[in-house]
Amino acid sequence: MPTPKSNGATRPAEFFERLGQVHNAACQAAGGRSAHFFNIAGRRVELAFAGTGLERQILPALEHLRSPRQEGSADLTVSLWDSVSTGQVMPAPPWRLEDCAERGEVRGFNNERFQTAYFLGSGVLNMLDRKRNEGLFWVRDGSSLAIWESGAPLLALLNWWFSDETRQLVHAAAIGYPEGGILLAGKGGSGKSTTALASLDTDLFYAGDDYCLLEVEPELRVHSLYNSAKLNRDNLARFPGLGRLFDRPSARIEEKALVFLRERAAAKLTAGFPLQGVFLPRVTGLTETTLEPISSARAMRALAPSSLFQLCGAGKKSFRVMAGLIREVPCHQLNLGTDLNGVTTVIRNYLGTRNG
Amino acid sequence: MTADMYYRVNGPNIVHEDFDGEMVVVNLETGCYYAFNPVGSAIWGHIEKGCTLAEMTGALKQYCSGNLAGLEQSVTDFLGELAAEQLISTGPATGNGEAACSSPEIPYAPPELEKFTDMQDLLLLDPIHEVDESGWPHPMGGDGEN
Repeated sequence: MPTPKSNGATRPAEFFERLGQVHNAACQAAGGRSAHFFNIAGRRVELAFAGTGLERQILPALEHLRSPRQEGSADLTVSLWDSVSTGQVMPAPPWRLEDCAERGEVRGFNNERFQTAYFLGSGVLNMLDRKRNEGLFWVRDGSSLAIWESGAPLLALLNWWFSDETRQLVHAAAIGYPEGGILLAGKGGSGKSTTALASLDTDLFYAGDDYCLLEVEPELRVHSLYNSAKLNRDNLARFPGLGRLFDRPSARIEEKALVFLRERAAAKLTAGFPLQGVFLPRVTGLTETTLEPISSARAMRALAPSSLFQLCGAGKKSFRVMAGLIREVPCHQLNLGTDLNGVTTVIRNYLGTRNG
Repeated sequence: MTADMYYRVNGPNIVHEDFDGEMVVVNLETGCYYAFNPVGSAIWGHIEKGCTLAEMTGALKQYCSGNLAGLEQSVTDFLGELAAEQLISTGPATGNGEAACSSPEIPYAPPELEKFTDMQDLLLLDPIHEVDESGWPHPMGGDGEN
């Protein structure tokens, strides 16, 4: 198998600049720059597409956070394009194939100012210039973007840009009320999505089923990132009331069904809420749902590793922020019963007690 | 391994936090993470503070209650386990660790390490890809053209 051409002299700044030129050319070739604005955790994020080729793959998961168009005021601007729809050939990667490390990080192209990841599994390139608050997102063919990229678009860029000493993206679901909600932590298959989706048939609101942004200061708060929901297709039968959400013909037949709740359950979405607890769902096979207190360490083991190893760039600082948050909230194991009404009743009672 | 060697946590890929005496340790390089029982967590605290084996066992004898038979060997074995997991390494004693050895009383049980490997798959690279004419690898199945 051939390896990419190497140009060791090209540094992140030069390559970022070069790709900015390619994006400009792609905009011209595709009929213009298509800008969309979003309010994510109180920050204005602009997504600038070259044409419309990538829009339907990226925008649906973020639609619930869309804000009015306001040129020139974004806190972060991300330029997005693909080569197939714009006809723009990419310059060769200035790194070797073996420089693409775990979690997509490209060795030699990550420093205090720039962060770079190329994901071999999806063929997506992400770069961030932290100094200029500008990001780049490129994929060869937008029409074949992986389902996880459409469900959680720009995950690496948002993690790099948002995560600092007081904020951290995490792999967790979140549901609750405007006065307070809970985080549902655990690895895939633990029941996070099932629990989050069960909340849609109640008065609870939905902030996410896979990834959220946590804020430690000025208050413990969960911020929504995506309105997407994923569920194993063999689990759809458990949701007779929600099965309608997953009947979109465009949902791909892969390991999980993907739906955008903005299209089907917009009133149930929230941009976030104060955090009042961390729950670890566990499938029991029993009918009844119960809640049992657990140690902070156990909650940390459920939240931190799955977040650290999925999020490009997450490390010691991320671990510390998550630990700080875990120490501040009650942690429980949520023993999931087969009766979904019972699951949401336990959560609603917990939050009802906390919120008076 | 001798009684006057000191131990240190390997950096920067080993991250750890203490939650009321219950330690959570993650190896960012391997994808493994660990839980320790109370005595194991206490030993980790001593390692963080640069204690020697002699200082650790001396301190444990002061604040651990119950049957302490075999304590030295258990601690030595535990340190060997941590080293085998590449979580710690050794060096010559600095003499700075002794004063830091203190802890509330805990019932003694031999130190234990629980290892979790379920996240390792997330660190595996996807080896199935093609490289297009301009040098970008991409998932198999595409037409390979830019």
